This record gives sequence, structure tokens and C-alpha cells, in this order.
Amino acid sequence: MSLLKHSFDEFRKKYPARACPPNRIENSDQLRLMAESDGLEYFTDGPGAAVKAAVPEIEKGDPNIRLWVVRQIDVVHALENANFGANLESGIIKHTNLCGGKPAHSGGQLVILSKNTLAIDGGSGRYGPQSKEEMTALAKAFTNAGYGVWSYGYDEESGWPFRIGSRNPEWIA
Amino acid sequence: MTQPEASELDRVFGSDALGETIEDRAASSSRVFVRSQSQLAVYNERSTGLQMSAQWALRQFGFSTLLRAVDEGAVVISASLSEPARTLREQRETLGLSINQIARASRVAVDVVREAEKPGSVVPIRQLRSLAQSLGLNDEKISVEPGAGADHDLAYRLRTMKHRGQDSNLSPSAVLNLAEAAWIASQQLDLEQFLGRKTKLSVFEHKDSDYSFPSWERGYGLAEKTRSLLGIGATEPIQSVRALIDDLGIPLVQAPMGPRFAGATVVNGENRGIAVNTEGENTNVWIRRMTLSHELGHLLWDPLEKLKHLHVDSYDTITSSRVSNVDVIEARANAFAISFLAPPEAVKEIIRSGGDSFSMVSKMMSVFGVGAAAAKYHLTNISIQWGADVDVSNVNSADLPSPDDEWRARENWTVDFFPIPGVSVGRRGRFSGLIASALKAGKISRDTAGSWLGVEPSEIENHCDDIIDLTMH
Repeated sequence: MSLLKHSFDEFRKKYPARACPPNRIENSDQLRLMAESDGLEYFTDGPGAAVKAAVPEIEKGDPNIRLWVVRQIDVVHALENANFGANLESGIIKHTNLCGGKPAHSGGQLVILSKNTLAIDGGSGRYGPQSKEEMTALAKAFTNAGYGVWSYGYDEESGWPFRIGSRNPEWIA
Repeated sequence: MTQPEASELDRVFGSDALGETIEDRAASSSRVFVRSQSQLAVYNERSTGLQMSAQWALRQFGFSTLLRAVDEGAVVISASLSEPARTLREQRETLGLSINQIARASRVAVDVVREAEKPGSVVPIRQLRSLAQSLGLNDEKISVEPGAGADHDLAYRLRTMKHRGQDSNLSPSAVLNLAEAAWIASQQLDLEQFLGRKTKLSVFEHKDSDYSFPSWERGYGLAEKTRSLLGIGATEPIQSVRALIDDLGIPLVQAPMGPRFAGATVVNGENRGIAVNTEGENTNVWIRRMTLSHELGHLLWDPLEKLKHLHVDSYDTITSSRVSNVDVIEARANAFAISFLAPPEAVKEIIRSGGDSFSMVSKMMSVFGVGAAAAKYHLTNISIQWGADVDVSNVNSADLPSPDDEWRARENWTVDFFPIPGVSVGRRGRFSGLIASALKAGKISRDTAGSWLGVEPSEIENHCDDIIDLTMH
């Protein structure tokens, strides 16, 4: 079994898949499932051995921001500004486009900093983590899958995860 | 922005909110938003941040941001990773304050202040707002806009001002009090507008730059004009200068500022307010009435270039006759103050009615509510101008009357009888009344009210009507 599968299966056991709240689906385009040819990518095991470097300073609206979703059997991601979104009613992809609107275990945003280091947040109104513990477990799942992880953590004051650009991330050892 | 679709209005304000316009929907919405330092969201059972009414959130962030918060769960509201750290540090340094001083004034731990000044860090929103308030920054705009509404000219003046040509900078506590007064002034005027209240200041839109000799004539003329514009009888005593200033919609902050400074006129951006010391000679309300009137003269009539964002007056400026003729701005404000309180025609009437000089001075003081030094000086001046011969040199100030309870109550009313002891003296005026009114009308949240008055929201809720009765006449 791959590191990624093992790590995220553990996560899935603790945090079952959630349906997207119906009020967050604004139009049917948001349910169109992306394919690899549309820019959808699959996470595989990370190369490991990432070491902590300087804190990444990523502002909101960074063009390298990607969306990710923990689906029932895999973990996928796609560039938020992927061309696929230009033809959608919303003009941009949503997390539901990564899973066809089906239930998912978690979702958020990320920036790939290097081949083995990610900066991730839980910024998804549709599938995002709903507690500090869940956000921590998620970051750990990526770490256990072989990636070095900078996590934005959970904003208890807003009751949602901190999004990229809202603060500096923390290194998850 | 263009009018949103009905479905978007429903999403943001809830389908139970009424009205066609965004503003109408917001005003009738029961939806609550919540913010942290860097994010805005719809209130949910997990959130512990600062709750905001839909109407207030709309005013602060605009419809498109609220829509994104509703659709995306949370939206980043901070301007960049540098904010609010850069704004906080720059404002503190411009004011010449240490981290310890600002921590003490805002009742925030030193470590939290250090963290708040570190780019990319986050601190609890309520503590961040306290810091902003103490630094004279807009606590709603902090982290959202670089600069957070800071008036750099005012901050610079607070740090660098020299008093009457001498190298005597304001003390850190005076700087802090005046910076907070600047925040209160701005916030109060914003609240007046938010609540749809119109101030009477529009009739004083045109400032008067005539400081020609003799300054006292200019001051007398402006006092007469002010009485006329406000509909006050030509010789009618002014019962409460504090109430008059409140009624005009001028922010008035009464706060302890040490033994030396009497009062100040503070210009924060477009907003003008008055800060008055509650310590020193102003503990005598007749002297404080002179201070208030003196600052009123500055605020109503001096052009901005004369005030230079901050005009601080010491007691020797206001209570003594020895203002240099060269300092025409002060001379005019002093003449304004005394003739506004005790119009020359009324003083002539006292002289005309006869009696010895002691009784004339006593009558001036007790009828018009002015201090002994000012009364004696004014009586002498008027008698000279009028060709009368009143000699006050033998009148012993120690034998003259002092303000009775009625005078004290009228001027001290909101400070002495404020129902929540934890609210700082500087925030006990009309500012608190506007907050209580907005809270009672559901226009702001309990959290917002609590943050502005620096106490638990439940305390304000429990005393809403008392505060309104006390401060809004």
C-alpha cells in the first residue's frame, strides 16, 4: 500500500465523507467533474526528506494557488485558474469540480513550493475542515504521505481554517 | 456596484430580510457576521471572533466581500501579509511610544503587542482593536486597509509638538489620551452618520481667518455670531457647555491628561473633536467651561492651517490674561470663550445695576458660570471699553463663590453618573449614547458595542436605556 493511501485512509476513517451543502452549489456547472485533460492532477507519495526552510510568504490571489480534495479513494488537485474554469458559469473552478459534487472527506487550497514541499490550507466552503483537530490531522496526513508541509492552521475566531494569504503558515514536523 | 440578483441578496442577508436595496436588506437582516484579524465569515457555532450585525458588516466590507464570505465559508480581509503589523508599528513609532506604553494603555500583554507588529502573525481580534483604538487608528479598518485611517500629520504633531515655542513635548500619557480622543472623535462622527443623525455643524462650514488687531474684537464678534447661529439669546446664560457641544454633534472627550494641559482641539482627517483634561484646574467646572468654550472657538472658527491637526492649550493660556498679543490665535479664542459665556451686553447690565466690584464679580461668576480670574479680567475690560470705572484689584478670589452642585452636575453629568464604572472616562460622553442607541436599534452587535466601550457587552445591554437617558438628553 502506498504511503499516501495508508495515510489518507487513516484520515478518512476518522473524518467520514461529507456531502457538499446544497446551498453552496450556485449553478450546475459547479458539479461538472474535471478530468486529467482539464488539468486535474493526482497526488502520489511524496519524495520525503523535506527540511524546514524560510517561511513562505504567499499573498491571497497568488496565481499558483491550487484547489485540492480528499476524495473517497484518492487525493486530487488542480490549478484554481485552470482554463477549464473559464468556460464555467462561475468563471473559475470550485472544489465540487474536483469531485463532481460528490461527498468528499476534506478540501482546501495549496501551493506546491517544491517537489517535496506544500503549503496547504483548509479553505473550502464546501468540504473544508471544521475544527483545529481536523486541520491538524489533515496536515499530518500530507506529512505522512511524504511531503514537507506548511499549514495555515485553523482560525477559531472565524470558525474556518485560515486561508492562504491570511497569515504565515506553520511548519508541521 | 450594480444591484445584485435577488438570490444573492437572499444568500447574504437571509430570505427573511426585507427590502429592494442592499441597504434595506441589511437593515432588516438578522444574519450575524464574525471577523478575526484576517478573515470574515458568517457567524457559526464554532466561531469565537468579533460578531457584527449585517448592516455594520456591509458598511465596513461592502456587498461583494459579504457574498464571498457566504459562498466560500470565510474570506481573507487583510490587505496583505504586512498588515496590520506595519501600520501598528509605524503609528506607534510616529507617536514616539514604546511597546510597553502602548501595551499598558490598551490593556494588552506586551507579548501580544510584539506579535501584532510581526508581519504574517495573527493576534486575537478584540486585542487588536484595543491596540488600534489606543493608537488613534480606525479599529474597523485595522488589517483591512494599510494605514487604517491614520492621520499621519496628527500623529506627527502629537510626537513633535512644542508648546508655545518651548521644547516641551507632550508626555506619553497625554499623547495616548489625545490619540484615543482622535479615535473617539472619528468613530463618534461615523456613528452619527450611520444612525442618520445630522449634526448642526454645517452652519459653521466657513472658517474665519481674520485675526487682525484687536483680537478681542474678532473673538467677541465670533461669539456673538455663534450665539446667533445657535439661537441662544444675546445675554442668556449657557447652562451647560458640555451639553451644547454634544448637541452640536462635536465629539467631546473628557479624560485625565496630567496637571499642565487644559484642553485640545484634535483634527483627525476630516474630523474635529475636543479633548478636555479632567485633572488640574478644570476640576473647577467654571474653569472647565472656559476651557471648553476656548476649544469650541478654535474648532468652530480656526482654519485647518492654524490648528495644524492638533492644538493643545495649557492652563496658563486659558485662565490667565497674559496671552501675548503676538499669539493672535489664542487671544481670539480667549476673547471668544469669555464673551460666549458672559456676553459684553450682559456684563454691562451687571455694571449698570450697580453695587461694589466684589458683588459684580460674584454675580458674573454665579450667573454665567465663569472662573474668578476670567470674571475679574472680563469685567475690567468691559468697563474700560464702556468708559465705566470698575476696580477689581481689591477683590479677593478666595472670598468669591465656587460652583454649586447644580453647576457641577450639569457639566460633569455624564462622567459622574455613568452607570458602568468600567467604561473609561473619555468614552462616557455622547459617544457612549450613540453606541447604546445603535445597539438598542439592532444596528450594531453586542460585541461591537463592547469593543468600543471596553466592557462586557452584557453590561451595556443591561444599562442601554440609562446610558441613552444620561448622554442623549
